[in-house]
Formats: sequence, C-alpha cells, structure tokens
Amino acid sequence: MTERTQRLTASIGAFAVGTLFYLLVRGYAVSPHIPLDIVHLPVAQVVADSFPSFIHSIAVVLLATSFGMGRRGAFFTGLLLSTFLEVAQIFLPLGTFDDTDLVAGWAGVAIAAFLPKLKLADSKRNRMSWPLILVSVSTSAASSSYEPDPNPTFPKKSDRQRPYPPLIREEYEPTYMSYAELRNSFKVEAPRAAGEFGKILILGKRLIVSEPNVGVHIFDNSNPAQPKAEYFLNLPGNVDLAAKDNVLYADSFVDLVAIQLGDAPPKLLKRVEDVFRWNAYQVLKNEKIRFTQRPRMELGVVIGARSIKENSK
Amino acid sequence: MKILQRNSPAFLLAYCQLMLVSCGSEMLRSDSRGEENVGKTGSTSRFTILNEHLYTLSMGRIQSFKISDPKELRVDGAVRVAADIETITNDGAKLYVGAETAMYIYSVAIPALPELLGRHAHQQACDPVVTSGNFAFVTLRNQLGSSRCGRRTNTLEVIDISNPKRPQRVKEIQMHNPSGLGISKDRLFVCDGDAGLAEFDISNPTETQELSRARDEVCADVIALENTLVATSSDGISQYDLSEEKFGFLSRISAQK
Repeated sequence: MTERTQRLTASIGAFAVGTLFYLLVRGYAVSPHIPLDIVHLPVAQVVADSFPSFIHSIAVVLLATSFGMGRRGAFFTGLLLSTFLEVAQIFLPLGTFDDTDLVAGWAGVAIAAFLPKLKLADSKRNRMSWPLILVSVSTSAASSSYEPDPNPTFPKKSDRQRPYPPLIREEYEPTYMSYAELRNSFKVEAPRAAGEFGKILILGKRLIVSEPNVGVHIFDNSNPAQPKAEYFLNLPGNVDLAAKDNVLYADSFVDLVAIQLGDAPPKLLKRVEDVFRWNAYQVLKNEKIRFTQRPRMELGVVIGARSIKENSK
Repeated sequence: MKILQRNSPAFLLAYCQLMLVSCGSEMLRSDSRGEENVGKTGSTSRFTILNEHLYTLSMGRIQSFKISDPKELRVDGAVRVAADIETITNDGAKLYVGAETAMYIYSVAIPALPELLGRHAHQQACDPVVTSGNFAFVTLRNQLGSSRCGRRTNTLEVIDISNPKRPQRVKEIQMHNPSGLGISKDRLFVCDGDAGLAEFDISNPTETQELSRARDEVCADVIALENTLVATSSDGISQYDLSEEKFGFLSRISAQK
C-alpha cells in the first residue's frame, strides 16, 4: 500500500471510529432508533463535552505543519489560536467558554506538537497531505458550534420551484403610532373575543392572557368549568405579563405599565416609558416583510406595514 | 502497526460529527413556587418577579424594577448579560437566564443589581424543563424549519440532578413532538404536538410511565395548578380537572380568527 492509500484508509477508519464515538458517548445526538445508551460516568461526559476542542487544536497544529511550519512554530500557533478561540467565546456567540475546553485544547496542541512517537507534527514532510487537510478542516467545521440564522432572508429551494416572481417588486413602508398616542392607548373595555393567545398568567381566581400586540384579556376563573370573561385591556404592543399582589405588570411596545386589579375595574397605576427595545418588526413577526427604508424610531412605534408598489426597470 | 504509527494524525483527528447538537437541559419553568400572591405563568418569558423586584430582559441586559409600591414603579438597575439571552425565570432564590448558547444563574443579594453566580455552557434556550425533587424533565423537539433547535429527535428525558454539576440522563421516552410540560404532585403532563396531551406517572422518576393521553388537546404549554391543569395554545385555553387522580376536561376558551 502506498503511503497515500494508507493515509486515506486511516482517514476513513478514523471517520468511522469518530462516528462510533458519537454513537456511544454522545448517543443522544444520533437517531433514537439505535438502541445504545449513554455512558453515565462523569469523566466520560467531560471527555465527550471537550472532545471537539481537543480535536480542533490537533487539527490546527497539523494544518500548520502541513503548510511547512516547524514543530515549535506549529506549537505556538496552535496554543495561541486555541486559547484565543476559546476566550473569544465569552464575547461572541460562537459557542460557550469552558475551562475544560481550554485545557483540552492545550493538551491537544501539546500532544500534536511534541509527542515524537506519534509523528504528528513532522515538518520534514512539507508537501501538503490532502487527506489530512480534508480531515482537519472538516473536523474543525463539524465540531464548531456556529449556528446560522434560523430565519434567513435569502430565497429557499421551495421558492425556486414556483414560476419566476413578477418584475414588480413589493416595497413596504412602516405605519407608525406616535408616542403620544401610545401613551394614551390604555383602555379598559368590555370583554371581546381574542384572535390568538400569547402569554398566560394565573393570579388567584383570575386567568389573564395576552393577545400578542393587541391587549390583555381578563377572565374570572373561580369556576374553571366556566371561565367568565371580565374585561379586555387595550394595550398595543403587549407581549409579556407578570403579576404580584393584584398588580399586573405588562409591556406595551417600549413602555412598562402597572395595572391595579381587584374588585374594582382595572386601573392604570403607572407607566414607565422607554424601557424596552424599540423593534420595528415586533408586530410583523410572522410575515416576511422587510422595510426598504430604515424605519425611523423618532416617529413612534411601528404598528404595521403598508406596501408601495414600485416597478423595477 | 504501520498505519497506526505513521497515520496516527488521521486516526486521532477525524471524528466526523453527525449532528451539531449540544446538550439538552435548559431553562427552568417559571412558576414562582415559593412566592405568595405572584401570578403563575406557563412558558418562560422575559418577565419574572422575585421578592420586591420585577426583572425583565431587554437588549441583552436584565433590568430590575422596584415594585414594592406600584405607583412608584421605576427602573432600579440593569446588568449586562449577553447578546443572545431570551428567557428569565426564578426558583424563589436565584434568577435563571436562558440564552442561545448558555444558561446564566444570578443571585439577587443586591436586588437591584443581580450578580452572576455561574454559567452553564452547552445549553440552549430551546427546550422546556420542569424540576421535581432531584429530577428534571426536559422535552427535546424537532422544530421544523429551525436550524438552531431542529434535530432528529422528539423525546422526553428524565435527568437526575442530584449533582447539579453533572446531570445524568436516566430515562428517555420517545414522543411525537413534545413541547411544554408541567408537574402536579406525582403526575407530569406533556404537550405532544398533534398527538395530544400526555400524562405520565413520575412517582418513581426512573420508571416514568405514560398513564393516559388526551388526543384532541393540541397544546403548546401547560400550567399545573392545585387541582386543575391549564393547557394553552395560540388557538385556545383548555382546563382539566386533576383532583383525586382524575384527568377530566372542564372548559375551553377558543380564539376566533
């Protein structure tokens, strides 16, 4: 067998072993139909958790030597890079910082660079070993915890199956509610049907539920077999609820309000302004609308989108 | 062996990861069990009340509001956490903030300025958790169309948390598409997508067994009260009677599209 074949065989074998490792030790990651159970020892779990970092750093050292760096250079490159990548996870959402990952990274670098019997970092072989590079890069990529945007705005495959969209592009501009209107918007009204339900809260005999971005419905739930609608609180931009001692705290776009509940009809106690993030897309969460011009925060809160048809050339 | 010696880099290196999933256990349920007169919520949210303060999440920070006198409601302090925080809850003593990549635990020794106690890595704010004694129950769900929380598994996991630093999974139950869950005494209720609302016996958590199922109840989350169970979804709110080991339907408030 030529050396190339040997390395290829070893790569494939290693991939297989690695897969087996994930089946056995990180079993929950794979299909539940394979009846293998996780190893319950804490030591095994630490190893399982930090293994990617260990592999990462070995990969880096090998890449370095594949590109012709000497043993010592590869060692320092590996050390710096693995430490930097780990520490950077404190500031960037690429993954999580773990002391065990850091130590695993250093161990990997040390092993890769200095264990002579393993002959991992051998600068005499200056030519690139393609199986090694392939394996290093794919392992690093696979073990990274980068998560892509769950709601990407580029076209998906399903879009391509439809006929081409017309050349008229749909443009949207925001509709605003001024801050003055917002601060005047709280009203206690007679109960009405809800279009949908969001956050729910049980306070004593009351069942309080938010209709997202519309308001809050209050029910008398003293008899759960027959909940009775009591009031509807008009509260635009409401998403969250909390309550204590018969006071309901709710958000209304960028404001927080405190509402007194009890035997008397609900009463607004206090509004604290501008404490939540202004979000131009809060009301439009489920629709794939993007404003072509930047929404202007000083005009108010965005309560909808209006389309302005425009021909493209 | 020649291969092992000369090709040990490949041997040590190439572990092909099939999935990009990290761990399971996520944020605790917000139910303010230890507090009187505090409203009980189902799913975790960006608001939580602990003692005399309301804590909210906004712009990557925890904001605290003093609520001892609601008429004097005001911002009391803010601490920066991380950019990807999503949910906050408490267990009567500490705050738990769930983020995309970790769970943060805060002390409220200085109520206006929560102080970071610890951070659990490798935990995503996707999967609901409830705890009872030394056990935690988590649902892992394949959320269609979500790359962050999409995974090839739909299970209920029972985890022994007697040693909080090293939780151990003790049982795994296949389900259809589980989401919110809640506990009432020795019974665990899990919303299982289109397969309805399932009831489990957790008197011996390592032997968790399904007791019954309400197939028509498509819910996203449940709130377990003294004697009733409230099952919620965006379309409606159903209530069930739990007194004396019953599991009987009581009422439903439906939304009107």
